[in-house]
Amino acid sequence: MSANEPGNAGSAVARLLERTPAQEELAEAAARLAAGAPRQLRASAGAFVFRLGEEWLGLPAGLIDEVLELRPVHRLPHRRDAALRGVVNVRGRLTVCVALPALLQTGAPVAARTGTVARRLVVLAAPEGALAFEADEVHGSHRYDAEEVRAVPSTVAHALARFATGVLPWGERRIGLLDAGLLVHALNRQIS
Amino acid sequence: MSNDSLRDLSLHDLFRMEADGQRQTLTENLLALERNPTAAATLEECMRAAHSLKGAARIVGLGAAVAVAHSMEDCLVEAQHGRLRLHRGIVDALLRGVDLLGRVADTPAEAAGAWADEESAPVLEFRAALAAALAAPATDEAAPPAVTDADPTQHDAPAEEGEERVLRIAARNLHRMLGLASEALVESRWLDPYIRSLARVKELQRRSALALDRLSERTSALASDPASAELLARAQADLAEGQRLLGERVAALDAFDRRLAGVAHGLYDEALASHMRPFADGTRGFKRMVRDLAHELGKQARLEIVGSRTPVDRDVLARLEAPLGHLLRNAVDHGLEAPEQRLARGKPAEGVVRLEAHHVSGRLEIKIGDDGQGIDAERIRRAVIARGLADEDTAQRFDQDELLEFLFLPGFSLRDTVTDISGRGVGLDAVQNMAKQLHGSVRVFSQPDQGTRFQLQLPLTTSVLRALAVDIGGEAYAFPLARIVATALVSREQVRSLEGRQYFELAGREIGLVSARQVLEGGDGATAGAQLPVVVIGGAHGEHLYGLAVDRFGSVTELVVQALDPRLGKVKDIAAGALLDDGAPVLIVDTDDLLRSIERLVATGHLAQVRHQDGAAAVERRRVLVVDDSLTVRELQRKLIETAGYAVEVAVDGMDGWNAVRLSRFDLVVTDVDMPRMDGIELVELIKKDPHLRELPVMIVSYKDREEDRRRGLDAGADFYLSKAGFDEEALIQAVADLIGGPLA
Repeated sequence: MSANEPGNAGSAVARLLERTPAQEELAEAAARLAAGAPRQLRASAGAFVFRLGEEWLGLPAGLIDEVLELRPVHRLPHRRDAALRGVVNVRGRLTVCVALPALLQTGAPVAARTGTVARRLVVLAAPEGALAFEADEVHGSHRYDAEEVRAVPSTVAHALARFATGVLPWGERRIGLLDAGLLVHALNRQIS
Repeated sequence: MSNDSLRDLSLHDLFRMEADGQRQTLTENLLALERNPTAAATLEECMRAAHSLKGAARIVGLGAAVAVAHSMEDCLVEAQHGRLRLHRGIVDALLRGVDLLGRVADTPAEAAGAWADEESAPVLEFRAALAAALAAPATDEAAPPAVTDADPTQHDAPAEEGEERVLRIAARNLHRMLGLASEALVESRWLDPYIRSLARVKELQRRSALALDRLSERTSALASDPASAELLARAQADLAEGQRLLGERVAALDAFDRRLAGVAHGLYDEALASHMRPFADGTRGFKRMVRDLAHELGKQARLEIVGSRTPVDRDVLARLEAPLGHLLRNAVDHGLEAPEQRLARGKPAEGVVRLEAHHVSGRLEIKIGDDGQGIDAERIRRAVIARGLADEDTAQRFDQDELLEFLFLPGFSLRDTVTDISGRGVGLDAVQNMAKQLHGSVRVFSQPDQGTRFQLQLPLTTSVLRALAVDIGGEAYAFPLARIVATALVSREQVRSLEGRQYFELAGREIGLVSARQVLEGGDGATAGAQLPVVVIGGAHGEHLYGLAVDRFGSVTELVVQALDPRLGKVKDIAAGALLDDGAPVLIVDTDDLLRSIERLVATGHLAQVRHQDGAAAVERRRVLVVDDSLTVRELQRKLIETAGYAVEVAVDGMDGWNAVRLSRFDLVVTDVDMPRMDGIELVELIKKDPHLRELPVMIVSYKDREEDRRRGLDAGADFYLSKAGFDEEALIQAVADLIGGPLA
């Protein structure tokens, strides 16, 4: 019992842990940390990466609530807006399901080629209420350096260009980064 | 957990919580004592509450509360010993003491120092009032109430229900919890089919065991080869062991499934129940209010509350309190007559106000009725004319229901004198607004000399609805059972045709057949199969029956109603959504909306034929939509505008109008303001907010002609505001022409 008291620290380990660090050691450690900081800062941006048809797209990771298996979506009568898919069960709550391809005009899903196994339901935590959409494939979170982001090329489909803030190289592929605020605003308007 | 949360509260907070409960007990029991002053149990309970409060107040150093509670306790002890009879004056004084205790308890801790003194002014006042009441003889004490109170159980009811501690929880958390609980329920159902699928494995095992047995019987040569025989025996033994193990595991899984289902069910039921509060929670202060008010007006009144335990959505309950207060005050002030008058009419001197809450077909129905003098419809008619709301001719055409509707007009009152209590004509307006905000409605019924009854129909946003699930166009829809007149399987031969319309006979009535797919999706009515599943729906009183042909009947289920996302707005023909047992979404049909859609479909189908014969000229006429809930006004306007040469369509309320403008092109909307489901102001706002409809001119025609009403309409975006009070046809047609030009485009 008395061995545990600080004053009576008998063991070498205790002595080691309780020693005052040397001033130069502290400075060295601080410099080491400082050197690593810019690298961290660069990779600080994060995007949730998913695929619609041929396009890989990115949304701010904070907007994503969860990713679920696909499930039946119930159409709404009298609503023929292509961007409104209907309602879907997300954790017991009926959640509005939207069709992003219709809004972004990214073309039909290439489900035939890849099969439907990779398709997922992505739930967005929009401030006005949750929204869900079906993605053809979900990669997940991707951290990147904000300086890597390039301007949107003029060849990008017109509707998509309105929502894209930049293009991020990702290996062979390119990720179209989307403006979350504008996208949510447009979706909210589209469904009402 | 409750201990943890209590730990954070200051002593003063704890006192306030206790005081809340004890004041409730005191009020209820004092009101009971007024009717039955010698009830020992009630006296005892009252005395105990005062005593506990006194002790608690002493701990927190609120001398004033100690003094008040002490005086009350003394008085109650006297009554307990039969040395004092609690008459009305004393009960009045004691109730004021309860109010004073409330004031003390509700003072924030920082300012509570003012109540430290036992001799503070309000306390002395209270003591003086109590002393005066004790000294006064019970002269005007009316005997009848005590006699009519032959049924004491009624007053014991609240106590019997038990006072449970109530926690405040954010609605969002509750919604989440309910969602997760229903998901747990759905997930728990997954195991059962899985277990049943293992039967196939069992069967395969059984068959291979059988095959091995046969093999050993048939090939005797095997027996002579010891090595083969041993292999066979081992295979047989292993298989038997496998069978036994599988059986055991399945049984264990089965037992687990049952336990899990039990837990999931329990969790779900509790989550559901926690969203509801008993009706009594929102009606606590009303008995006292009715009593005090009646005394003030020199009347005798008793409030009876029926359905105290009716579960009411907590959000609905919170918003009900103020409007119910309005209606109860109205009942006592306007409805009930003075005691002499009542006696002269052969009624008991004491009037009865009844407050009832029930669940009726998936909605909460609340009735507030009195046995008073009723509302004189002719007086309303005279007031309508006198106030220039309609000319003599039009006013004479209003039926009783339409006349009663005028009571909901802001500023409309039958009273010549304005009292403090009511009669300003603001109450009913507020009640109607509240009902509309909750997507409900309020109606008034009245019988001269028998009383007046207000009936509120409110949705239970998370209530359980019994419904029939059906398949329409490959998707699940549900019809509320209460609104289904009948269901039938109609064979092809039974479907007859008349003037191009299909119908069939059911119980001697001819019922028009409509394809549900066509109504909901606007598609064709193709339905295969020799037998047509048909759901027959109709108006609330069994009129306007239609048979909706669906694709397939599902089962009758209990659905937990979920409001659809408010961003979707009102989805035509749909009331709400829910989840089926397997977790799939289902949409609950809005029967009234659907009936309107069908009638519209039938009407426009008819219109199309007329137009076909009319030639091209008719198509080019400018189109006006008239939105008004009064049939008389609606048809009058339709006739006027049509006579001027425009094409007119009608909608029966704002919601109907909103659906109409989105589905079809119009040049002008003419709308009333006060309508059920969606009022005219909301309609204007929606139109002016919609990018496609923004340019559509809207004219408001309303009885509300005060400047603030006019401004409200124009602020919402209306292009013109026409007062019905000064209504003449020329003004209407001129306004139409000013807004959109002549009838021909």
